[in-house]
Amino acid sequence: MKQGILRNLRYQGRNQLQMVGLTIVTILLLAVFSAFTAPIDRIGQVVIAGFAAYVPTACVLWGVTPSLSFYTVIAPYLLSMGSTRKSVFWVNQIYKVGFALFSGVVFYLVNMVGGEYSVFTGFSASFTLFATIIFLSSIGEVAGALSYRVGKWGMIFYIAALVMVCLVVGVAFGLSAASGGEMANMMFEFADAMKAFPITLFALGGIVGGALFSVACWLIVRRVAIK
Amino acid sequence: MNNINLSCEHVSKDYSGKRVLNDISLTIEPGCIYGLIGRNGAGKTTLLSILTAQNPATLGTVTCGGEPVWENQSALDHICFSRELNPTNAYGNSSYKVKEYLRMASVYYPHWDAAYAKRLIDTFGLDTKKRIAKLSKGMLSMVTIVVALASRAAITILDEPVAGLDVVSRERFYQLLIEDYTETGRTFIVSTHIIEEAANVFEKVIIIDQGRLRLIEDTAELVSRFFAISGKEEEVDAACANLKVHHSDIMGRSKTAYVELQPGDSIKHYIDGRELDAHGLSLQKLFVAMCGDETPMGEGK
Repeated sequence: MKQGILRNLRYQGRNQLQMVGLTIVTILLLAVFSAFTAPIDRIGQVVIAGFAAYVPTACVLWGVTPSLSFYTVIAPYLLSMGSTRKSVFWVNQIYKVGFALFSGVVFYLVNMVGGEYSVFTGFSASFTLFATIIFLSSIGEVAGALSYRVGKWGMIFYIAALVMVCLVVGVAFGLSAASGGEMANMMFEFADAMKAFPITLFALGGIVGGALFSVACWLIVRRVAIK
Repeated sequence: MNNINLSCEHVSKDYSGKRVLNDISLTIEPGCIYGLIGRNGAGKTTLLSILTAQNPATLGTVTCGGEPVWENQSALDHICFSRELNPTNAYGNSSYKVKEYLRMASVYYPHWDAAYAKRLIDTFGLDTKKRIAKLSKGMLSMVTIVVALASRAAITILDEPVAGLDVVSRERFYQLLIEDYTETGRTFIVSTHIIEEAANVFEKVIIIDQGRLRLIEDTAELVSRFFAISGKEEEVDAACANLKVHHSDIMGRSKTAYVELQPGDSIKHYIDGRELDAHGLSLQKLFVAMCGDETPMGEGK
């Protein structure tokens, strides 16, 4: 097991380093692009303010998108070369958290360096990005694992189900708010009550959600057959 | 390292409620080249993937050196199952370059021999900068051969390694296999449909038919027990009365019966005094006789 973990740390680590490199390059490219399009007298301000979007965009792009293909493309090769499902899964979890941590730290540092021009300051924004990446990556892993195990229709059904849940919740909230009935009042009260909670609580919810999706992913992957 | 055996006991596998492997028990002994033969869909790849923990068995257990193989890294470290690469496989990373694929293999196979891999690449003239998706079928086979041989795993399994290879490359592969086997004494399991060419290489043969293990036996001994007996139909039928007939061909009044003798039995005992011809069967012929169409050729066709 230990050897398997080490081999996976080595191989998956190299891939993860590539993702980190691509993230940094993407952030820099976005910053350069915005610098070229900003008014000359406000280049610094625009670029620094823009980091509020560049960092999360790049981190989600290179941290979350690959999670969709991990169990369809990379993991089958690792398993076919004698790695255990356990070590492939756990090392992937380690790197997922590692990348989310990297994203949070970068976001925190960039916001700190940006000082007064930064849109976000403090810990909560960085923690939210950390939690968002964990949550979205875990959703992506389940999609990939389902796609590999039961075929592309499994993944399509799963994503469609997620979209439907979001739609139903969103429509319910929207309709209730628009109708202005008792339900809407309850929701406004709920929303007011939520304001009292720090954003980190929502982020924690994301982490818990991510953990639940990871458990689901393991249940799919633990007896997967290599095709 | 090479004195490790691989066994499975009562292994069965179901796909969507259909049993594709049925109660297979066998032991792969160390230091031997096994040939795994069976018709398309017989369950060869499924069996190999279960033996290497790439596919969970529905029933039964697989052990390597006495340890269970499933999710056991120390057992899996002795095994290499170099699977057939498929460039059009929607799930495969066909965007990998050959060198990236080999680099992955070098990380995951603990006894990887990089110098040997380089020699094999040169021997086959593989362009490692090419993407797997761009390789011809023959080149894909070469990549799987390089991975299998350079893995230096105690138990090395090749699934259809010569598919797509030209005759020169096939010969070269068998030479390399024997050279490596002579040098290291590793155990090889080679599944193939090109039986005639490989028959001399296989020390033991495993025949699978319709998900069941038909036999696992020393190749020379097996071949020595199979004969084709030809002559007039009545004479052949009389000679074969106490023999196990696997298949028969009828042409007019002539008949050829493909028979199996019991160990230690002699064909002379059955044909002496009759106007019959008897000759031994090649591995391919005996395989066809055992696993071919149940309806005897020439009857009802």
